[in-house]
Amino acid sequence: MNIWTVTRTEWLRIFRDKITRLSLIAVIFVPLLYSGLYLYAFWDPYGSLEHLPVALVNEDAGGSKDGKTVQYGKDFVKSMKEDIQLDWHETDNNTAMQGVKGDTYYLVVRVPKDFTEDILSVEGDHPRSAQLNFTLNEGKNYITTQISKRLEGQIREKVSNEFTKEYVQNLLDIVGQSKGGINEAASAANQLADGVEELNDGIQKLKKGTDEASAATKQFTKGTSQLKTGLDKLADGLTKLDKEVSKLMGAAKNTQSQIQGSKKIKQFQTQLATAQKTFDQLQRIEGNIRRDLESLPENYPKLSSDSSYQEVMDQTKEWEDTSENLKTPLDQMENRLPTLLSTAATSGLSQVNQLTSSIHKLAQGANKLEKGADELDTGAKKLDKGMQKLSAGINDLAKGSKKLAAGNRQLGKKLSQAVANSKSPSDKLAPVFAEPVKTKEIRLFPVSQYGTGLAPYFLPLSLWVGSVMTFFVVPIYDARWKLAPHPPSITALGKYLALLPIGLLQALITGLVIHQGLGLPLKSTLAFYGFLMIIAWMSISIIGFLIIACGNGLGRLLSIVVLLLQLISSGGTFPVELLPSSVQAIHPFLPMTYAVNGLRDVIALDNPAGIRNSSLALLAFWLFTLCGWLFFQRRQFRPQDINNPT
Amino acid sequence: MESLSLRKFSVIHKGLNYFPFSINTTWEANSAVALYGPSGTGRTSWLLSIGGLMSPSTGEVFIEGRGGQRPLKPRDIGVGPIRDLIPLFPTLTIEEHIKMHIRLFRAGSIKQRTHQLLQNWRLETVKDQRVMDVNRHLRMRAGIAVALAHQPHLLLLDDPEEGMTGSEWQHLWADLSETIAQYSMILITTTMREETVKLCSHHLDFSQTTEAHP
Repeated sequence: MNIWTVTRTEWLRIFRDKITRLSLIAVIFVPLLYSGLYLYAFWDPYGSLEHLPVALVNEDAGGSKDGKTVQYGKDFVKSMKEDIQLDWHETDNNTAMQGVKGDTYYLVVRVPKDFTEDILSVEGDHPRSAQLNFTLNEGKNYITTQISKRLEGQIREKVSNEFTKEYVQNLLDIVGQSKGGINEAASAANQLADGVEELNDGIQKLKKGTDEASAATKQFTKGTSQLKTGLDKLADGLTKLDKEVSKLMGAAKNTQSQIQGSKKIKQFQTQLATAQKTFDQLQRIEGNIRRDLESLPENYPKLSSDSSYQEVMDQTKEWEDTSENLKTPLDQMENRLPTLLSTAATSGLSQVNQLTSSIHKLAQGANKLEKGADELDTGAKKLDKGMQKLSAGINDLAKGSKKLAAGNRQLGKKLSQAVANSKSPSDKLAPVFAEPVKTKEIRLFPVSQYGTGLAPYFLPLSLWVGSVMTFFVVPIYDARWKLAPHPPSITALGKYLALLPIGLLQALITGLVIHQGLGLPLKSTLAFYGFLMIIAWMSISIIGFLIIACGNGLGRLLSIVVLLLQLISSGGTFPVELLPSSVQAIHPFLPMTYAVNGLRDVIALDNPAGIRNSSLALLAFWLFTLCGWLFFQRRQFRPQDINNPT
Repeated sequence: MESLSLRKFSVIHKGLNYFPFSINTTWEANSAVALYGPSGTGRTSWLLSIGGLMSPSTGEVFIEGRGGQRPLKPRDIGVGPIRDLIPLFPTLTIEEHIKMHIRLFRAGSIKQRTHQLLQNWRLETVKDQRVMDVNRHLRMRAGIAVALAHQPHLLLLDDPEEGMTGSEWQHLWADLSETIAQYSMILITTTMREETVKLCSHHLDFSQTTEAHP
């Protein structure tokens, strides 16, 4: 009950005095004046850029393109005036520079003399980048400099895109003209594929012929092997015959001395018959060999011109002639042997000698023939091996030609597709090439005005200042209350309750004007006003606690110090992560941190959890300092109070 | 209350050599006690300490009555306005002031008690005036009326005659005497006004108090 008496009395004290009433009204409007005026002034400065004076200097001399005069500088100036909302002033360079150094302009955009020439140089042998000059006066106004830099980027991007589009348009036109050539290339690739397919057919035929040749070569190799075997046998037989004839020579010599012995003559006749039989066998073998050799060129015509083959054939012929010459005397000798034996043993011996000599020559010829057959056999084997390699190579060639045909078909198809795909007109493609990547900004909780972004920072700040001012109007120390019969904390609580309507009005009026007057968008209106109310009441509690705990002078000073610390550490402007570590360290321990975060949640983020957490933090600050305020009350006077009453 | 007793009571401040240094005394009910001496001799500190609004350096203060001896309670004292230290709330009217005090102490019917006090202290005509708007004499009367609103046993007044004419003070003292006679003891601080001292039944002389020399 006494609490209410204290509260009521405090309100009576205020309302019974006109100056105090006016002061209180002023105090109630202090937060509104502080944040309202600031936010009103800077609610949307970027929306008023059409009032920012900017000098535009065009010194471009122009150029020539396709026989026509072009002036890109002039086009640029026109484009800037139409598309970028600034207070453009076209002027000369000297005036512009004086203006930006003085108070006339904040930015100078100058188009240099060779602007068009530099742009056109892209089509020449020595391409150069065109240049635009931006002159800022950073010393004059830093914020304007930031705005100007933003504009500079915007202009640069626009101009770059515009001219890139033009370059690409030209390039695409050239590409468009080359479509016919690409079509021809596609057609040629298809023709090439047809030709390669025909080549592949020929290769298949060649492969077939080569396979047949390879089979013939194998037969030839087999024949040469058989020939070699036969010649080996022939050489062996002749060697045996040579030995037999040599024996016959010895026997003939014995015959001369033993002519009378018919038994020995018969033995000689038997040996002669054996030699003749062997000779006949040799002749048959030779006939077989000759036929085999003669049949080889039928399967392999190129053999006819082979020197080894010719040499073998010549040897065979010589051997055949020699054997024919030998056959007659051998037959005569067999027929005439009895007569010869009986009449002219001596002349017979001479003939035997002649026969021996001929057979010896024959054996030598057979050896040469055997050597030639060896060479022929070796050559035939090499030939067979070569044919096998040739056959394998032709197989690879056939496979390669198939791939070549398929590749050419695909090339023709791709070229045709490329032509088909390039049907898009260059005027549609050029903008895409000029700006191949467009950034898409996804704004989760869009904040359209500068003021909306700053409101969460300025509202708690202004309510804090309002609370500081409140204690200049409503005295917190009143010794008369010490005479009351209740504990001093009751008086303190009654006084605090008397201040709550002031905080409430500060919060409501400020919030209402910012919300309704400036159009602050809110996600939760009720939460916004409730949050402002909590901030206001908490600020009163903290400042009251500081004054009670530290005295009027020091307490007020500390409330200003805390305000300054909150200004730098709350993260209301720059993210707290960008601040010095010492400032980051105090960030979580000051109430405005949670006031700013909570208001952001209320205004833009629609984050109930964030609102709840921030509210709890503010309530903690509120209750802690209110308890401190009540606890630090003294009932009794101190001696210094008498000498220095407050 | 039958009497007020002070036992080994002293209030010592740095920088002052007090006289009296320490006292043991008993003041009976319905008596007036004058703490006299020039300004700056510690009279107000003694006044507040006896009333329990400041801690004495030594000693205790008791009220002795039918129920025995007990310390002073806030309800036992009424404090008149002390300039600069415990002034009345200047923007409240006299009537509001009295009513507030009756409410705080729950001192009976607000209306009746207020009317009674206004009448006793001749304040009806200025009841609606703010304290800051009345003269010093009326302000002191209003202060005394407020201090007596809850009918305390002990009334403390600091230089009540200050700024008053002789006539005004005589009228005020006459009203105070009635009050003393009814239910209270009064302790006043005063300067060397002899007639005031003579009016009181007990005295504490602070005129010998001097500044201490280091």
